[in-house]
Amino acid sequence: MDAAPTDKQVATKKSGEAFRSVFSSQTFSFVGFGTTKRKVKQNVYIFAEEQPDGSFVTRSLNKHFIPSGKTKKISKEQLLKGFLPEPDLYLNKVLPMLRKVRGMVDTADAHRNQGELMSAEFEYKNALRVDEEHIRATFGLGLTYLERGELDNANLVCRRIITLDSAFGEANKHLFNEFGIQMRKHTMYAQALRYYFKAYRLTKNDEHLLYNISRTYYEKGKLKLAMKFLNMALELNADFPEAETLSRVIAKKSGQSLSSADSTWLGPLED
Amino acid sequence: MSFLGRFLVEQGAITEEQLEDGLRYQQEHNRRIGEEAVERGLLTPEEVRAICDQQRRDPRLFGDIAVEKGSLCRQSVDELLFFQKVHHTYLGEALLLLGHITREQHQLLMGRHYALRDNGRVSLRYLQDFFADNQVAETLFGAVSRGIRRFAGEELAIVSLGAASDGGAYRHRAVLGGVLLGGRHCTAAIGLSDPLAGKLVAGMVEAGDPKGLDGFFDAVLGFFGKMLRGVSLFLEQEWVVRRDIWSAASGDTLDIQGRTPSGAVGIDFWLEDVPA
Repeated sequence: MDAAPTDKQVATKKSGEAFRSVFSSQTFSFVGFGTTKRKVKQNVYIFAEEQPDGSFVTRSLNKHFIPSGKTKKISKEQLLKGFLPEPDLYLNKVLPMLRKVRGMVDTADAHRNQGELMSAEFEYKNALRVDEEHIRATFGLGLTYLERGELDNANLVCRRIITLDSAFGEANKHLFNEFGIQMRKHTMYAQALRYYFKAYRLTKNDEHLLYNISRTYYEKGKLKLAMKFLNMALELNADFPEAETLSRVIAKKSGQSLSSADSTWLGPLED
Repeated sequence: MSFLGRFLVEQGAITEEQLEDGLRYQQEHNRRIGEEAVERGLLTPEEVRAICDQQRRDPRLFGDIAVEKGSLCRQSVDELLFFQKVHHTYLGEALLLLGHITREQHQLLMGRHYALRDNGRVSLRYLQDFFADNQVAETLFGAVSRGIRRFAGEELAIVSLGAASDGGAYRHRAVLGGVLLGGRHCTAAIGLSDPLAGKLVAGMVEAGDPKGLDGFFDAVLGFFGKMLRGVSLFLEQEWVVRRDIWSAASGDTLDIQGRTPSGAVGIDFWLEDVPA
């Protein structure tokens, strides 16, 4: 391994942005047997992104030069000692591909907003073929299937989303909520609950999530469970108007049967 | 050859050569779940072959058999199904990627296709006049194709679409029917030529079903029901009757003539709104 690069040799970041680039290291492995056995050198490329605490999160690059797979956290010292910067690869391959995928998803979103659902599906799939873990594309594909009433396909996407922890992060909250609401509107209650409970396992202090769980149980007719989760939401935030309204509706329904018009009291779910 | 493809050619939207091109693209790029599993290193080719061999006797899906055998976990099956869906190219998309239709044509064609399908009350006569599709008819054709692929190991291709025929060319016949949710009756008279019927009987015996063609038609009915559920349609009742008479409704009927390497298939399909 050559002498470790200095900070100067690493691609310079613009101020205010997290530093990101591609790095490489070499690994050696033996192939063949007996007289044909030989040592083979392989370059391994990783994408590294600086974190607020100064450490780096790294991911491998897939065959389309998109960061993918499990993340690994390393210190800046480990990065600079063990890897060589590859700014050309980052600028000429990785960055253009990331932009291309973002463009595909933007186009897909536009098609979906205009009701052009076949074109939306086509563009979301194009994006996912390059970046299989693209969260916005995955949500978009699921919402497209829901709008077309293709519930089995939407269920498939829901099961996929549940395996992607980053889908439940703050950055994707709006999409997370939209997908959950649409599943409920299409009476995919079991799937919605599985989806919400995955989020609950990751975040136990979100009163809006607890409200969504409660609302799903309510629409499913499980009033006791609806009340349980509503009380948990109100314990986190006693000043929660929507939860209070739902609480009154459930209490009334528990006492007597409601007409269907009563459910309009609840209005659309908003985060 | 697909419903949609045949209509696109008959309407002049694409040429035969362009259709062949699109179908070839689909064959080269679309993968079965077993192929996807091998590509991702989740199964070996030998494991896939073992599961496919079992499918000849076992009507369950590939993933269900793989989970039972312990070859895959349920989450892996879900992932494979998702990636298979992502990588699947519809015929319209293939034609777009190959440059045989524009993006606007793609949205127009597919948009109308799905709007008419979702309407559910499209006249079958429309299928002959416009490039459109009726999902129940398409699903039934898919079920017949699946049965022929499973038990004769051959692919069924559409040769022509038209008005009702008399079924005279087919010695081996059955009438399949069902009642969809909402009360519509769907019925299909299916005929098989001698060589294909013989091959199917042999395939049924190999699969351990001694009922011969009766077993084949039962299997097709079973596939039809499952595939309809897959597109959110449901049969409240279903039946199959072996009949020598080739009967069709007096109203709209769609006739589908198909061929496999062994022989010919004819299907006359009609939908009826039966008064309560």
